[in-house]
Amino acid sequence: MTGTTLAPARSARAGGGAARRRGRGRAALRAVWAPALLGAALFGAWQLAAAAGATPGSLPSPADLATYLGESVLKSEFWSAVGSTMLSWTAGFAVSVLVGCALGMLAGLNGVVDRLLFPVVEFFRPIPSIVYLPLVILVAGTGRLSVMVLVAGGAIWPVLLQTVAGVHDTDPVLRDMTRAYAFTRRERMRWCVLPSAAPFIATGVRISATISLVVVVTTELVGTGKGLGGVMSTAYQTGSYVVLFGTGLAAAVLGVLLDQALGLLEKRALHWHAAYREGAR
Amino acid sequence: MLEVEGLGHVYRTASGEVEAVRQVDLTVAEGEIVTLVGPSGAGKTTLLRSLAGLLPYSRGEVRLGGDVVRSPHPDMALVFQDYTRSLMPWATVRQNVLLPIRKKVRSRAERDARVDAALAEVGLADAADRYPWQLSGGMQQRVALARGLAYRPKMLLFDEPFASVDAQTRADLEDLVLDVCAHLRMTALFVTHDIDEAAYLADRIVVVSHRPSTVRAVLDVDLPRPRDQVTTKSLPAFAELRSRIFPLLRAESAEATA
Ligand SMILES: Nc1ncnc2c1ncn2[C@@H]1O[C@H](COP(=O)(O)OP(=O)(O)OP(=O)(O)O)[C@@H](O)[C@H]1O
Ligand SMILES: [Mg+2]
Repeated sequence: MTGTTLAPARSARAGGGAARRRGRGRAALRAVWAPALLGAALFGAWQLAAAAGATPGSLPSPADLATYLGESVLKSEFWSAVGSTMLSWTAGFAVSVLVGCALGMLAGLNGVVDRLLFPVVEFFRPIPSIVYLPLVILVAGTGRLSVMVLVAGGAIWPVLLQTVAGVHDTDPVLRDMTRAYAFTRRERMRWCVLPSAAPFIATGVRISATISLVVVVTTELVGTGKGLGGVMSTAYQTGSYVVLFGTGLAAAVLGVLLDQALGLLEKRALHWHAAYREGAR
Repeated sequence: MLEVEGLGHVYRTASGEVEAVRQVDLTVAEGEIVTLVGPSGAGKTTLLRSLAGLLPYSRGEVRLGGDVVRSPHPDMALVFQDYTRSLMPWATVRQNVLLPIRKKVRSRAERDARVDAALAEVGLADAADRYPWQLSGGMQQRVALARGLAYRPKMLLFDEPFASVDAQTRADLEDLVLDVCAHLRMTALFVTHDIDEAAYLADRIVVVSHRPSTVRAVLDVDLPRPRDQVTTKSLPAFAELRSRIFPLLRAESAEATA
C-alpha cells in the first residue's frame, strides 16, 4: 500500500507521546539552558578567533554583528525589509497550508484522487523549487505572486503528504461511531476526520513553515532583490560583509521565532493529544 | 422488534474469502434483553456491525420494527467494544454525548436536558466538562452508554462493552445496564464471550459457534428480576444455566482446534 499512495509510513509526532511526557520539568530547563550555553560558547570562540585574527578577513566578529544589529533595529529600513520578507512568507506559507490541506483531504478521502495525484506528487516533490525561479520571474515578474508560487512549489509537499497520512489514520471504530450515530458529512469532517489528522497536519505545517522561509529568502537573494534576502544581495555585491552576515543572522532568528510560535500554537490546538495532555487533575 | 433471518457474512480479502458468519437467525422482542455469547473470534463483532447497518452483509435479512436494515437505523444505538477508540478524545464528555443528537433535537434547551439526564442516569453528572481521557476506563464506558441513551433508540446493541475493565467495575456496569434497561424499558442485544455475564443479564441467551458462526442454542433464562450480583449468581438455576452453556462453547473449541 505505502508504495502506491501518498501516505508516508507514520508521523514521528503521532508516535512519540510517552517520551515527550517523561520528566517534563527538568527537561524544559535543560532544553533552555543547554542550547543557550552551547550558543554562548560558540559565539565566544568565534569572538576570540576573530580578535586573534584567525578568521577569514571578510567574516565579521560577533561583536561587529551585534553592533550592526543593535543599530539596525532602530532603523525603519530594517523593519521594512523584515516586513516584506514576513509578508511573502505569510502569503506563500498560507497558500501551501491551504492548498496542501485541501488536496491532502481529497486524496485521503478518495482513492481515485490519491492514485491520480500520487505520480504527480512523486515527480515534483524532489525538485528544488528554486529551479523554477527564472521561468516564474520571466512569466510573473519579481512581485509577490512569483514568491508565492515558488514557496508553494517547495512547501506544499509536507502538508499534503502529512494530511493524507492523517486522514488514513482515522480510527475505523470512530468512523463506525459517526455512521452509527448518523453524523452528517460535515460533522464527520469537523469531529472525526480533521481532528484525527490534526497531529499529522501539525507536523507537516511546522516543516512547511521552515521550507517557506528558506525559499522566500533564497528567492529574494537571487531573484527579486526585496526583503532581507534583497538586503543581503546588495551587501554582497558592495562587499559590506557586516550587513550581509548581520542580515543573515536576523533571518535565522526570524526562522527560529516563527517555528517556536507555531510550536506553541500546535500545543494549544492539540491539548487533547497524548503528547500534550496535562498531568492528573 | 429485531428480526434476523439467515444472516451470513463473508469477508473478501486479498488472500481469499473469510466466512465470519454462516447462518444466524434470532429475534429480540420489545423490552427484552438478549445476550449473545460465543468464543473469541466467532464473528460476534461482524454480526453486530451487520445488525447495526455498518457492514453490508452477504446473505439474509435484518429487520428492525419492520424496516429492513441496510444502513444505520435511527432507532438503534451502539456501545462499542473499545471505548478508548469510540469516544472522541478532542471532545468533552458533554460534546461526546451531545453531538449525535444535534440534528435530532432542534431545541438547545431540550438537547442539554437530554444530555444531563443521560449523564445523570450513568452517574456522571459531574464529569460533563472533562475529557474522556481524564476518566477511568469504567467511567469512559459509562460515557459511551450515556451517548447511547441520549440518542433515545428503541434498541441498544452492546459489543462486549466490559471486556477491558476490572471485575468489580464490570459488575457495577452490568448492574447499571440492567437498571437503565428496566428504567427506560430498553430493548437490548448484548454480545459477550463471558458466560456469567450472558446469564446474569439475559432474558434469553443465544449461543453461537466458533467461526463461521451459526446459532448453537437459544436458552430461556428464568432467573427472577431484579437481579443481584450475589444472590442471583448463587441460585441453583444460575449454576444450571452455566453448566448448559459451558459445554456448548467447549465442544466448539475442541472441534475448532481438532
Ligand atoms: N475486515 C476483515 N477482513 C477480513 N476478515 C475479518 C475482518 N474482520 C474480521 N475478520 C475475521 O472474521 C472473524 C470474526 O471476527 P470478529 O471480529 O467478528 O470476531 P469476534 O467474535 O468479535 O471476536 P472477539 O471476541 O475477539 O471480539 C475473525 O476470524 C477475523 O479474523
Ligand atoms: Mg469482537
